[in-house]
Amino acid sequence: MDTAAAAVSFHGRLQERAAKFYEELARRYEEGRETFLAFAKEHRNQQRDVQRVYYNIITDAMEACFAFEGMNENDYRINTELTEDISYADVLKMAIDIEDKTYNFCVDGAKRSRGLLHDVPDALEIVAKRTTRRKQTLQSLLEKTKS
Amino acid sequence: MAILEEPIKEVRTLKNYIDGEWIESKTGVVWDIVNPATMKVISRVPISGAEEVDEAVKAAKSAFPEWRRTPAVDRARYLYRLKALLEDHFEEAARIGVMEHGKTIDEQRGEIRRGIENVEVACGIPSLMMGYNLEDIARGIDECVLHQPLGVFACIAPFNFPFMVPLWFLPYAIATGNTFIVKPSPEVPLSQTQLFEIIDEVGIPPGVVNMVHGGREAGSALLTHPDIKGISFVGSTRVGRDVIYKIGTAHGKRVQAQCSAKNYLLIMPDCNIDRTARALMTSVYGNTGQRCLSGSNVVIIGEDEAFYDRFMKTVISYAKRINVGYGLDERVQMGPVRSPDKKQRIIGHIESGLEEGAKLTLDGRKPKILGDYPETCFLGPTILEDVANDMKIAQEEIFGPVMNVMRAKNLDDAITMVHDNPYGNSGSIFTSNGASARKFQYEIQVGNVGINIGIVAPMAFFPFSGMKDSFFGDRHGQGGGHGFEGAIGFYTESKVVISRWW
Repeated sequence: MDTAAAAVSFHGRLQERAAKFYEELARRYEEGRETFLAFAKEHRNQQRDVQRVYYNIITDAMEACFAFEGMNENDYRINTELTEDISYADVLKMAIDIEDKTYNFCVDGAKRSRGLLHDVPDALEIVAKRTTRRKQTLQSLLEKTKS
Repeated sequence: MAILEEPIKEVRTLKNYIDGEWIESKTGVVWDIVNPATMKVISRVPISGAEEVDEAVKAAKSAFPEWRRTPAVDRARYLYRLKALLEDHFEEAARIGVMEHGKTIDEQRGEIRRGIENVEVACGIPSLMMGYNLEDIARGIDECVLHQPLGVFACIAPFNFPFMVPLWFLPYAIATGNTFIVKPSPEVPLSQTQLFEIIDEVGIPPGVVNMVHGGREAGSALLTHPDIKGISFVGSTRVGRDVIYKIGTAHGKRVQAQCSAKNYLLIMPDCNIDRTARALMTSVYGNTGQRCLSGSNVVIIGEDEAFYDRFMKTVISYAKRINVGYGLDERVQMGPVRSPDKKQRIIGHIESGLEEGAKLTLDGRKPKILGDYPETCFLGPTILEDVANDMKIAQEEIFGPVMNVMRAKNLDDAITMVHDNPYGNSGSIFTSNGASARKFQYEIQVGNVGINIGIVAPMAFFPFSGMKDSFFGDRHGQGGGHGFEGAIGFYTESKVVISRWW
């Protein structure tokens, strides 16, 4: 990712795809519906929050260009394609993977951009924390499917 | 990677905004506005004449008495609404700017933010504009100072920050109760046109703000019009000093002219090399070097050859990695310069440097462009080493992505080099030593001083300073210093009232 714009755009697309994924889960599974809808909302809010922070502080554009250097979109791509016959347990595993990738993106992005755009890494770290909470919830739902 | 969607879909001929109406220019002269990355015509701008300027002045003069009576708190509410609408149109404004000017999307978003910040500061006008008083200056006699608007002001805007620069002035002018006329640069009139479409939506009373597109004739008409109280100008020293300041003041106007620059970046051997090198990229190559705060002369201090080599290796490595291309491509880190003639002028400077003995370490004259775009306006990052302070490239403003690398034995010599240059807009030192930083801050004769900062851009609540041949006038643009060192002082008259009641 060569620019802050590219990193924030990618983050936005990541969050939007995750939000749509959870909305689809809410439509398909009565069990956990409220949770999935809440997660979808959180992902959209995270998209908005990071973009807002970036819009508020992006002035030293060229320094910001090097902030995310070395990050590759391919390392954070998420799979949101749901087949018709997929099991509930596998869906939850997909969701955990989405949260893992989101977490990795936010932590890596925050680490790399820390010295240049303080507010953006702070916002990404908040997202990472929320991601951890969601992952814990998903893991407990997955445990329930085993019992 | 997809290109961000272009907001300008059709070529239209722009109109002037006078007395709350969109009006076609009568001159019939129009110029094409070309996107410097694609070289496609994106709009046409009318080149208005003195008659249209006069209409705008009449509208502004006629709106003034009612506007100055509008309570400050009500005037501020228009600005709050303007701020909200600007946020709504933020992304569109950024992309228009990229298309008309050539900045990258990151840079243009930065410009929009810096413009909006001035609107935010001007929203504080009920507090900023307050006067002061003292009871009993003599027994039973009180004295107070009132700050009052003067009438019609105007701004002649430059090409390099088409959205932001008029907002250094306009919000403060109208917040203080004056009325205002903007003449955008005819090279980049679209950002201001969008701003005025938003202003129209805000519902500011007709005549309070006006926009006249045009070139030299319109500028000259503003400068000499007897009903204009003051002019804000941003552009070259040649025009700012010899035309705007000279003629404007001769016509009894207040003038603030922010002009050319030649900014020095002093590199101490104790600096953080990696962070400094990155800051230099922003400073020298940001906005493709087309800003009056751009670093140009990098002075490496001391005789430590190992440090010099290590520092330059890092700088060159970063400069080589800069992606050049169309600013709406999010991979791009540096866009084109604004026009082919500007590119040729910059190349002329590079060649003059070579003729005078500088060494071309990185040649940006034939850049690799990301994407399939004509190279007409593109340049890559350029580095010239072995530059001497008396060379033309070290003394004159290049306004392009060119870094001159120079040497100085010590900090004193480096400061002397800065002072030997006629300009005094900005200058920075990169060091981890507080004493060096303080000495630099204390002694340096430039208006905007940076310590480990590449682009010393004052926030909206500080004045945008400048010294020597970089600024002509008394009061700077933007807010700051309780308002009166900057725009609030420029746009108001201080009236003293001494009262005694029997």
